Amino acid sequence: MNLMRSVFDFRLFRQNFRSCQGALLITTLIYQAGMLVQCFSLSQRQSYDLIVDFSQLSGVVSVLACFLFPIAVSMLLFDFLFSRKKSDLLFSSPVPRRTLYLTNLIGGAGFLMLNVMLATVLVHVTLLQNPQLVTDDGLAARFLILWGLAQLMVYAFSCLAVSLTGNRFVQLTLVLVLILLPGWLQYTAQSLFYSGADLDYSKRATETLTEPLYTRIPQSSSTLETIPYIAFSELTGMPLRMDTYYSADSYAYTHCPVMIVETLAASLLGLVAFQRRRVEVAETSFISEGAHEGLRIALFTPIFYTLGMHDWFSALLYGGILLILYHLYDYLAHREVVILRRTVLSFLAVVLAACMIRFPIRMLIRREAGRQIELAEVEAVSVVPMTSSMALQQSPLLQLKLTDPQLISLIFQSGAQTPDYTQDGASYYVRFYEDSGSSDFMIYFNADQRRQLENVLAQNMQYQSLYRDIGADRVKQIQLNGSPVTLSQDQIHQLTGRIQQEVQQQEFTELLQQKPQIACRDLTGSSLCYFTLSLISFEAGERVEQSVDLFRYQSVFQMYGSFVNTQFIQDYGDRAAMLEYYSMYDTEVEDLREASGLSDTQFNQLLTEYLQLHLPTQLTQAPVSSDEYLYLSYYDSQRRQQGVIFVARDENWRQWLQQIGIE
Amino acid sequence: MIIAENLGKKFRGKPVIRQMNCQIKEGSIYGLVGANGAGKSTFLRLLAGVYQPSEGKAEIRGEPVFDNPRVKREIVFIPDELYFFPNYNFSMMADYYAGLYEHFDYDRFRSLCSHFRLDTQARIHNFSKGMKRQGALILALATRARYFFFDETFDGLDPVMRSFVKSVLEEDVAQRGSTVLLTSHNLRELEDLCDHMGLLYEGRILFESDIESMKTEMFKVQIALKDRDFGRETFRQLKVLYYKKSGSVATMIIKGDRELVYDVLQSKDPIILDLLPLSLEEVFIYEMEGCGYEFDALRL
Repeated sequence: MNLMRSVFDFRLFRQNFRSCQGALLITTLIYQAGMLVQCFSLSQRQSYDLIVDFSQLSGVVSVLACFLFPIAVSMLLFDFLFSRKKSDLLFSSPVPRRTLYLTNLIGGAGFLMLNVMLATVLVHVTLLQNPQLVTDDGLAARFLILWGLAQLMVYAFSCLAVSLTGNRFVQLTLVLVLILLPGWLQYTAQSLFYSGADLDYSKRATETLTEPLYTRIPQSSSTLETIPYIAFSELTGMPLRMDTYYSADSYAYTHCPVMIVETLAASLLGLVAFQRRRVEVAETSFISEGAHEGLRIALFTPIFYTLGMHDWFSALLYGGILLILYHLYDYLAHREVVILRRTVLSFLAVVLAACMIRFPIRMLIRREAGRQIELAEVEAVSVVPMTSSMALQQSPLLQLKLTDPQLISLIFQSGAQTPDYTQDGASYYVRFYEDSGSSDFMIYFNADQRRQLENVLAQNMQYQSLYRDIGADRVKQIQLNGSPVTLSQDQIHQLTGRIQQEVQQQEFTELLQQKPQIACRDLTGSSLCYFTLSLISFEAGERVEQSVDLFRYQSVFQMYGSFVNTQFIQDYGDRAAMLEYYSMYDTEVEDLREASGLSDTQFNQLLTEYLQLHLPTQLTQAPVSSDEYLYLSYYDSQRRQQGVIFVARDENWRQWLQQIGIE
Repeated sequence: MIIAENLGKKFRGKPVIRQMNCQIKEGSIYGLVGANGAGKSTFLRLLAGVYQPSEGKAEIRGEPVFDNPRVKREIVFIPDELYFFPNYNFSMMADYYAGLYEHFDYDRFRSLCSHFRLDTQARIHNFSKGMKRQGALILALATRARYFFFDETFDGLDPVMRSFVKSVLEEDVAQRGSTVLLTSHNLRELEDLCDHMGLLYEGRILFESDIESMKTEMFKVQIALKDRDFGRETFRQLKVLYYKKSGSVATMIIKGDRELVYDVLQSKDPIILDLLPLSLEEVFIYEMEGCGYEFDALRL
């Protein structure tokens, strides 16, 4: 019990909490109100975006709340470090400093967790209970765990900062630097990797070594991409996701260990700093002068780098502006005017640091990008086609090491030649596994090479198995050409099951050569229409879309067409006045209405009556051209729902056209 | 015993307490005087464990004070600027202190509150400065701690309350043998309460002594001899701190045993001889001047 009390003294926490409970409650109210507004706004977006995933919930409001709320709590609970009167009372009392620090740290963390739990309940009640929304499985649990951990991490950093400094302004700066600087460095390094326009490709050997079509793709280190970087991204608007195909690991549980380690490390360092703190109150307390300069430089280096490293003019302009702010910072941190000479010298260190970040990394990257991979060095490769339909399979396929020497040799041959773009060529992501690690390239294969590659891949049963798995049972929603389709979960499962079945039965080389079928073309033939089904599922909290051509498989089209047509008759048979019709990619329906001389309301009324009588619930075959079926889109202005139906251009249709006066 | 040995404290490299050496006996009331900025509050904070010493050591009963709950359980520090938790009353503050000090005496708390006519249920922020200070003193005394450090204790108290507080402190020291360390920039405030006094100047104790010795070993002497041409050298057997002759009468401040001094002066066959007691303020002034410090620099 004594040991417990030496770590967390509830009575002490209660007293300290009571002294700032008003401000804490106001902060809580702001946080919860922000969450409520966000949930409410998400739940209102029903018609065009029915999917709510963790990324959407983690909008700017939540990120700011996650970032600012823990800082506010730490400032309030450790406010005795900024009040001589209160610090006299607390530090003269017979409470060990360790207990004082840990009590506030643990108590504050508990308070934050209570808030996150409350917010989770709020999310559950306002968002997840809405039947119109399709939400990611386990959204509430992930929200609770990830946001909770993220807040704990920021809180631990903030407590560390409050222990190191004696000035609220410096404390805030230190928190920002500690949390955001690694994210900025990561972003900067990745940006530099991508600014390879001036790399000299001509110096590369072309005979036995690879020649990637593009510059080397940097490795995505998921263990580094934790909430601070996401917070950084949200705050600055800069995208951190440079790589497009490793998209499934943000907000994943894989970040939890990183956040836990960072939280524990910051808490421990904070405890040491608090115990070694030589002075207790703001007026006299300050981190050492060296640390102060280090912090100031760390704060301004990213700003100068971002704004002033483009050309000489921007360097001079922003250098001048930042120098003034730099001097102002010193005044705010020190509360006294310091000599300008020192400021100028310190600012030169900022410029030097920015140069040190840019140029050595750039040289390193040039060297790295220019480095060749020897055939003999490659132990294995993994290969993924660059198609949007592969979103789900990309990650497992990239993990699958293929050691077939024939395949490796083939890839090297393709890469060694100058890209020869042909009609049936294709680009693939290729990961080369070497002793030291792996490197990713995008490599173009011409038609002949592609055929060879596909034949080799077809012989690998494990590759086939992974490739053919579309994760049918995990699909939560289906969209057609980007518009949500009103299908029940049962229908979705039937449809994805059918797609999975077709994919399993299809010849593998055919499966690799996915070419969308043209659904229709306009009268001049210049505008083509494709129907793409997007199968939406969630992997580790991230929305994953797989694309399937609707006309690729007859049975899939028939099932889909039956579902939507039946659904339409059930839902809209007697509510014609609310509907508006239009056809895909051309104005055929509107042309028909104009030719008939009917008003919108009359036309809709008549069309709906016709559809009630003649819209087939079972479609027999997929159309091969727009001569056979009319693809009608409809929009229900009351329900704000959109959909597509398939109307046969048969004898009945022609008779109806005659009835409304169209020959 | 409270011991400060080569104690020093710096703020941003600037020394506020320097090489301070001081010993305070158990059961004494020690008054620390000094001008504003002399380092009195900092010294108390070092002794109370609020500040970590930059150098030297501050010990109570042979143990360092800083971050030592065992020692701090015996210490109560009442600073010059008081802090009470928002919306608290004295009863709630008593609960807070009772949670920290295991010997907290609620009976004494209630009894003192009753003597001081302090409402324990009223919100503290509604009280006057003097009432808050009374409350802080009551809370401190109710902890039954052994060491009390009071910074500018009598600030804001009216003369009646000042006298009452003094009597309460004296009673506690007499009954329980507690040790009280008080600071003030006003000598007269502490004169009739303390048994020891120290003078702090620029972070150092310049001079310290017990009050009785100070008062009995220093006198103001007015003397006239038959030989009108006497001078300071006539009294070279004595420790003369101050000498001024006006006409045939000389005024001196002499330090030493009263009887011995009287005998020496009588041996000069004086026409007039008066031995007058000095106020504590005068004692301090002449002692400091004896140490070579200008009075103006030490003005309290």
